[in-house]
Amino acid sequence: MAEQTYYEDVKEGQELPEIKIAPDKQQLVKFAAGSGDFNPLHFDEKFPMLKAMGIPDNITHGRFKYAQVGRAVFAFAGYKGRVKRFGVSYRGMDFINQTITVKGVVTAKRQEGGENIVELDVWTENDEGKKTTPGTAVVALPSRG
Amino acid sequence: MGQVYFEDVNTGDEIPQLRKNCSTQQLVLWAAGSGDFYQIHYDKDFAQSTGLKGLIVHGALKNAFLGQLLHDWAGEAGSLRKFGCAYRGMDEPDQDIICRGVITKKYSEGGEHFIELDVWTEKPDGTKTSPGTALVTLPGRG
Repeated sequence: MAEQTYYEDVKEGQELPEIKIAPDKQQLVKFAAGSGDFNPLHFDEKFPMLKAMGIPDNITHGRFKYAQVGRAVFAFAGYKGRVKRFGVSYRGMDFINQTITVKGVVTAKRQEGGENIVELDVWTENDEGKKTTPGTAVVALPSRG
Repeated sequence: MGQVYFEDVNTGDEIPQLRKNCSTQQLVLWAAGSGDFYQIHYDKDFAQSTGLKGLIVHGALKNAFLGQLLHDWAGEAGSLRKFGCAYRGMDEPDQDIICRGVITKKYSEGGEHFIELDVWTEKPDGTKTSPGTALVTLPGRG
């Protein structure tokens, strides 16, 4: 597990460690099983709707990407931190076996009501650098004091 | 469906068939329910890389289909006492799987009425893919 991040050590503009993941079919099928989202768009390459919509391959579940971004946010908060708010929107498709890179950057830090608040922009990026799952998070971090 | 009674069936009788046809989605749902996530059941490229022609239906799913065949037939007042099948052949998604059963023996013992059956799944070309046997009790009319 990563070391605990403390409020004092965080700077605006600081980047979160990247996470790279290329989900294969088994991973998407397991995500379908775990989430209950069994839409064949995500695992059946012959599903007629793919062709009808001009989609070249099975698409990664939006909530799978949300979960990957969540990994980065929760890893940043660490054991002693707390994720106060976290959300993303699904702005672009990612495809099976294609690498998603999770990135994040600190946009603000402030002390408020006795808490050490850090705001983040977070997102997934495809190989072309397009942000497909942009979002924001608010995290409370522990202080070294 | 009406209840079937011991007196009304004879050795050699065939029980009503059950016809199934699995979509890829049904196989994924079965993977989720059973925990068998082996990729030959939903990943065509993986299946072909192992030398298979394409995706194949889970054996345990066909076993379950035969269980449904027997439970549908035995009805509320009947019971399934013993049942098993072997996986001898492969079935594909989007192709009919016909579940069949034939009575091989009937007898009464200890106040109960027993029926033995041969059961199997069959492909449209008649190949038996999951042959098995079952022991069922039926109610008597008496």
